[in-house]
Amino acid sequence: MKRLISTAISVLALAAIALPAQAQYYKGKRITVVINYGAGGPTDVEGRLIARHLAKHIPGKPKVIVKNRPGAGGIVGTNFMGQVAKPDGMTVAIFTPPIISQVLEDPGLKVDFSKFIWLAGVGQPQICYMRKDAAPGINTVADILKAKKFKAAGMRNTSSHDMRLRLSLDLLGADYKYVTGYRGLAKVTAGVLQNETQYSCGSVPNYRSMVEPNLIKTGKAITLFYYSPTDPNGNEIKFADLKGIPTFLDVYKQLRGGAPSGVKYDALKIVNNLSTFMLRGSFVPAGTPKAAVDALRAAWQALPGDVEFVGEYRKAFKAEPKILQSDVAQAHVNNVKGIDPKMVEVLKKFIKGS
Amino acid sequence: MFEAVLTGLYAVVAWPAIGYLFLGVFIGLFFGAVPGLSGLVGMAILLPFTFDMAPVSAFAFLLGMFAVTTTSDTVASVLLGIPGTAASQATILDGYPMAQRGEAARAFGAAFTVSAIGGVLGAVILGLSIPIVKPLILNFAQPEFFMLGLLGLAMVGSLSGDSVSKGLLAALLGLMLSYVGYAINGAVPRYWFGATYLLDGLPLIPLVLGLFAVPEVLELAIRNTSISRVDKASVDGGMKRGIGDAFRNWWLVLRSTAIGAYVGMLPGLGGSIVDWVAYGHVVQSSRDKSQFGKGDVRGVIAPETANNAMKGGALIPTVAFGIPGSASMAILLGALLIQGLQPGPQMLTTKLHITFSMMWTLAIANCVGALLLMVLANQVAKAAFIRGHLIVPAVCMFVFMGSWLAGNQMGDWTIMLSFGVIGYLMKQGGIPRPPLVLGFILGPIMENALFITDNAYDGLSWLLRPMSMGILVLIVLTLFFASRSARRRKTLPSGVRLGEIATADPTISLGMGVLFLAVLIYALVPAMSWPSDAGNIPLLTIIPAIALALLMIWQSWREANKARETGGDAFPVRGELGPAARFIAWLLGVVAVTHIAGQPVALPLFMTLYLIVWGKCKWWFAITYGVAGWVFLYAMFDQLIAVMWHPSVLFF
Repeated sequence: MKRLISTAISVLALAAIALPAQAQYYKGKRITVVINYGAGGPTDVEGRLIARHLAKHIPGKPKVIVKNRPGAGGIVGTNFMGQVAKPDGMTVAIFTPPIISQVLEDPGLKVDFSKFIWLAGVGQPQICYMRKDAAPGINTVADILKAKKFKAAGMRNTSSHDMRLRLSLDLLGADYKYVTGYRGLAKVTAGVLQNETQYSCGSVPNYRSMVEPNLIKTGKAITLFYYSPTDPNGNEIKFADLKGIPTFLDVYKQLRGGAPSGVKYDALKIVNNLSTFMLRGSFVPAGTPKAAVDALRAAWQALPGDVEFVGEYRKAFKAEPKILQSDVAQAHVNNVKGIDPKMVEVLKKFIKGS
Repeated sequence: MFEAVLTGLYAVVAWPAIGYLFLGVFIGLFFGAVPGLSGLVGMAILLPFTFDMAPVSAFAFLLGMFAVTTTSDTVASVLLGIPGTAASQATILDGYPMAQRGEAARAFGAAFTVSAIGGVLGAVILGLSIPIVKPLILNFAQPEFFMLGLLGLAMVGSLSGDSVSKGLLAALLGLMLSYVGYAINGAVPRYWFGATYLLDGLPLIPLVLGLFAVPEVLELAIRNTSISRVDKASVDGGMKRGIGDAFRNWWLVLRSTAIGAYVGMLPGLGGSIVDWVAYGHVVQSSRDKSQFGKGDVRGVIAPETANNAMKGGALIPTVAFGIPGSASMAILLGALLIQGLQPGPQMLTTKLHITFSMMWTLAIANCVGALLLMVLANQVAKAAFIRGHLIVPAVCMFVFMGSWLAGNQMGDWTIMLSFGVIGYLMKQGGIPRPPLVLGFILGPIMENALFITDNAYDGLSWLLRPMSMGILVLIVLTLFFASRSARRRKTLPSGVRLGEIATADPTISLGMGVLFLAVLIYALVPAMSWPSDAGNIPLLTIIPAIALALLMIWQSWREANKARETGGDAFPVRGELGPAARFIAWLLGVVAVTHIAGQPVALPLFMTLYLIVWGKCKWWFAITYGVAGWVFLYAMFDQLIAVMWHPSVLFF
């Protein structure tokens, strides 16, 4: 009996030593997930949902708490992660990373996104829609070129929402008036509902929860297209859950013949790829121990296969979670540094000239 | 429809929904009573717990909590002069003076009663107006938001006591403060001084806590009076008198309910403005205005009715259109989606019983919350008779933590302390503070709405929209009544003065005038070089503000001279400035120690040392107090809310 027990103990002890270091790393620890927008916003709701499920997949079952660090369009939280947070694996960001701010050299941003260690990205494409009663009447996507001086609603000159909206409409050659300043997608949708504006775009959750029930199903508006991202080879990526909705490229080819090109299309591709794939991003400060990074990355990898998580995500956002793993996410962020300075100038001029 | 009403009621009173409702109410009362916490923080914390609940239980839990935060927020507003939530800022104006007169219990009685009535009637109004809300919401577009902002500014007259020009100046300064951060178009950061923190603009709660709470705490500390300036024995009629007040003013309660419900319905306005609108309304519509600002119970009744009635209204755009009017409602929208409910027209047709269950939840929660508070309030109200030094440390902890919750960073404290000093000087100089807050809240709404309106409509065609014209009529009427009552006031016998103005110190007022003028000129310079869509509105604000600042300097100069000539004191506050500066230095000490060792050390240390040095308390008492403070900080802020402490040198 004694021998049995001592064998059991030594086996257990060996097993404990043999367990990967990551299991030890988070045992009995507390991870703080930082969110760079205030409580209650879309980033917060999505971030908290992810944080809750992520915890299940981290070996050692650490306690996970969520804290908000809002301000300056997400920049305050970003600076915090780069300048203050300790690289000990106990502070993890789940952000709406303001990567475009880095491209546009925002004076408030003090850190470089590519210096962080990226764990994952979560994406959602945007879908565009238009009121049917915009003169002379919009019944198919082709009618968009017949409409004169319709009003397209945006949020901020510098937002990726507005940049994509203007770049895509410019490429199509639509005759529109750009009306920006709506605070959030809910206000944008309300403006179209009130016929203050006639055209805009929204994320999949916004589209499914506000646009579809109030505008599409009531027959007030039609769905036009969504912006599809491209893979590193420049090939278009389509999303299965948006089947039935054409992509911007489809529509462009149909209306203008041939594929788009030129500096505005290149700018659209850059902005759209970043905002579609890296709508939300998760990272830790540079210098975080490898054991911690490995454990966190493994947890992110487990999420797409977590039925409970996927089910809850689907319920909450009416969309499939589109999770990008660490290497791809890191590559997207690193690409930002490679953007042609001429392109940056084009984007800056484009924003100023509104 | 009647069937849906009953089905909704049965669903709410059935187990377990009713249990969740009560639990929600308890949590909500707590979140409302602690300054800086609010329904929003509560919603964010409770939301994950609702994922596995049935829809009615989930909404009973969330809305039960949400409904009563504006009932219990009265406690801090009346007792401490600190707004419990952003929706009870206006309650301070008369609620705190009532507590100073020893009438805290009366104010509570009135406030809780009208909160319940407002909450229930607000839900009823909501139910009755479902058929007409659609056109209302669909026609209330950006031009109407701008006009509504103008209407709010027109109320400055009634919030300014008898110095309309000082009130206007304060309102314009409030507008100026709202321009800090990125302009609407996002391309130009304004007045940010290189601080990333300021790019998003100044946070409301630290600003309001500084402006209103710090001066009151400061006075308690340097005068060591109890909050009530009179003896307990000399006050008659407590809570019962207040309940009677509520019913005597039934017509005002009804009007405030309507204001609350309909303002609440407008997405994006809601909480932070509805109390001001109701307060402005009661001052304007009352014949005898002499007691407003000095503890008129009607000044408590109006905002407290409206801020509970608002909650029913706020549900409408969220549920019926999926357009959340506030962050709390955005969370509710999330809860709807998680429950598999699609906000939109069917919430008013096939899912109508769920919508009604939400209304029942609001109604029941409001009654339960008010009853619970009434049971507790007589005890709580006794705090008004405790000597000041025993209250100051606890209040300071709430002011510091309440501000910290805005963004969990030192900027929040810098704003709170800066506006604490400004608020103290404004109070001493007789410059009304409410218009400043109103301008600050309305600034972004108006600038944003005007910017969009200007782009989305041709010329001034938007002025001809029926609802815009309707509001325009209201603005004209407001200005007419304001000027009429201003003329009447001039005929009052000299020496009779309204509200805060009574304590005006001409030398302080003169100093503040010079300071404002300097700030305005400093602000003028960069505004001239901004592109027109970022610079025009600030310029339009600065130029009249400079004129009003010059007027204020001239008036104060004259008053100071007059005081000297008549043998009076032109600088009566002189003797208080030394102790005031000493107290502010102590508050700065909290900031310094926080940098080194974090809040869990700094705040309890402050409490203990304050009691020993200022309060002359026994050391064992002071230490016990400090330890209790630490336990509260740990349990409440660290464990429950998971606040992000300052990354201090020693403990990070």
